Amino acid sequence: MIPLRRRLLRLGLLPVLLVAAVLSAVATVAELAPVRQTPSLDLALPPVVDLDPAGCQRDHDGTGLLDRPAPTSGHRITSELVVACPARLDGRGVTYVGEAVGDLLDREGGAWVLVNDDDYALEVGPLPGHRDRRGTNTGLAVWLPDPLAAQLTGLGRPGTWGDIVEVTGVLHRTDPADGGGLTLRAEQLTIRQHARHVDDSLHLPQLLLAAISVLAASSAWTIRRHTSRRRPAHPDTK
Amino acid sequence: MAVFRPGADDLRLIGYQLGKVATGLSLLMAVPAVVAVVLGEWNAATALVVGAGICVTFGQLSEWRLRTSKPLTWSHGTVVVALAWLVGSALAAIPFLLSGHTGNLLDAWFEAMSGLTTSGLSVIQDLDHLSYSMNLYRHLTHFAGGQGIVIVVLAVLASGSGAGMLYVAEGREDRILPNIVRTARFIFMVAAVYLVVGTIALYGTLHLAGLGGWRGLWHAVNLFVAAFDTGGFTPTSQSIGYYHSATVEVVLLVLMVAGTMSFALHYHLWAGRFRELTRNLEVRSLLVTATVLGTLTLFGLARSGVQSSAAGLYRKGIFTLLSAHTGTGFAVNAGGLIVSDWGVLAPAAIVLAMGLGGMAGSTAGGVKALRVGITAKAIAHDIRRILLPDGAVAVTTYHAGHKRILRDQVARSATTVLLLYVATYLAGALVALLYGRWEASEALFESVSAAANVGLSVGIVDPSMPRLLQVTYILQMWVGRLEFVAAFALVGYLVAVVRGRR
Repeated sequence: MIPLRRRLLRLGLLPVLLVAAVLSAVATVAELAPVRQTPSLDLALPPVVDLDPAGCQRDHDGTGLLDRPAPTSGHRITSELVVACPARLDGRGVTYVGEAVGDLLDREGGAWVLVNDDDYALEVGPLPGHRDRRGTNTGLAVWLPDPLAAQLTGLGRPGTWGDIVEVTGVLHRTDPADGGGLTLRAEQLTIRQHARHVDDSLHLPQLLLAAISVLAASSAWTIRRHTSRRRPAHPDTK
Repeated sequence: MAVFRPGADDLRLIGYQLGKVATGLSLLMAVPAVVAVVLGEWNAATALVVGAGICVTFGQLSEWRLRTSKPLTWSHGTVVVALAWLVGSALAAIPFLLSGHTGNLLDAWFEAMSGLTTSGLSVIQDLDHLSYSMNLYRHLTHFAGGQGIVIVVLAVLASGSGAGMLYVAEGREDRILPNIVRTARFIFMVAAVYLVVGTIALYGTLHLAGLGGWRGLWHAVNLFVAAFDTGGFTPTSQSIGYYHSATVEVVLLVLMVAGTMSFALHYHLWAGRFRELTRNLEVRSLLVTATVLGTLTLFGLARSGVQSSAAGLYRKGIFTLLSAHTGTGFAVNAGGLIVSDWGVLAPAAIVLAMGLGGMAGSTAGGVKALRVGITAKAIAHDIRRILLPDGAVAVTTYHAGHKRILRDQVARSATTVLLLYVATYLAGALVALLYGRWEASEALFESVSAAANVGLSVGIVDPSMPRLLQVTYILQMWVGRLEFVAAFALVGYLVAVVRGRR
């Protein structure tokens, strides 16, 4: 006879092990996703401006650095730099490159668009078309006057790698036209790469796993339904 | 003190109830799976079907092997609820894991726990290209968690016996109607009415903001769920700043405040008892803390010279403050800006707001306005007692649904939970500080955000964050959502299984 303590541990551990086993199996299947050729962005982008974000982090008031303009000429800024050094770049003419994503929010005289400059936008292309994961998205809100907004041909969305645009304009740390938001007001826009479809072909191992899980679920349901008609609740519990 | 070991029938009962939770989760995955099929997002569809299939299998197997008519006691209830959030979030992680947008199982679990606990911290990678159906599923985890996984089970798979134990064990103290299943259904009815009204309002304002058509509707539904359940996920990486619209922000503010109101207060308002708004201790407490902290935020922002216009102060300062105080976690600017550009005072006020949280019996996290109010009343009571002559009896009352006398036990309980929250906030911050990569203010901000189930971030939460810290945040979200009691009960139960006597 198995001691009660061991029985209890077994009863408690079994479901834990079962859940762990199932999750491990799922994780394995997730890693079986086909490794597609990394879509390359064959563009010569301007170099990133030489600005140390660490030097801006402690500038809480933002006043001390305003007299030291960032050297933006001939270089591009990144959204990471802008968030780290908003005061330093406030009111400066800058160049910014990224993928136009989401929606074109039409307003009077122009439109807002989100332009991401993360690695998915500028290097490896959108997930889940590959497994080269590079973290979360980063980007800037860009105001495009009507003539510039009309140039866009496609926005980044599920299954679409949006237009890669090079924007030249003025950076606003607190744009009054956006309720004090951090914005880039575009004056020029060049499409460096037009939007393209991203391949997300059917993941066969995952499809197989789906079929197995449906089969398991329907079997469990059938067995439970069949036995519950014949069997009352567990006698231990009466 | 002797600890009694639970028997096999106790574990059987717990497993049986957990099976019901798994079945409830399968329904949650079924809705976006249908959306995925309609939109032709086949990989998302199969990911959701895998998740739903595994949940159904667990649920049906537990019902087959563990079905029992043993009544649920208080200790069972607390253990079931504590485990429901752990096991439920692990199962809810399956579609995220298969989506290709999470780095590993821990990331997927983090996302699921954050969604279900209505925290809103996210480690989803390349969110701006995430499929529509998977993004909808993210937001639906807020809905299931906000209304309570257990509440979902109660309402959909109403079990009747012992339901009250689960309800209270989940940290919901207000039993609105005499019957617990009717209470759960009332909560769903409130949510459904707000869903219709809130989605229409959001769709209208989004349309005015230039986002119409079916995408506008999709954004509206997701935003409604995240706002009303005080969750904080948004369809895009830029949170609410994406929409550049003051009217959208106003509608979201109303929904966030509605979401942070207790369902008991909703019930009074639905019954036409509007005086409850002026008498209720929680409403008063929330008003006072929001006013004080809002003033500090505005002062801090104005002093730092960042925002000078009234529109800027309102749209950045007040929105962020209320987003923090209601436990929602919507952001109107990049989180990093709070550290790099907002000075010191405004972020400190936001941390305090996050820590205090919304109302008890709502979807908000944090200490809760009721406990803050009771603690303040208890301090005032003690001062009064000192000032009164010897032998005089001081009686302090407060209004929460009806007039109640402030008893020592209630005051002690409120202050104990308050202290536990503070200890949890500090513990999470200390773990982050061990890595030496962040300042104390950043570490505290992120820790409070996780433990109070808010979701605002200054950038520590990221797929590349240290694993120990990620696990710490997962545990903080879990403990914060359960308000400690159920989590402690689970630990006690595990000790009893191993070391207890029969």
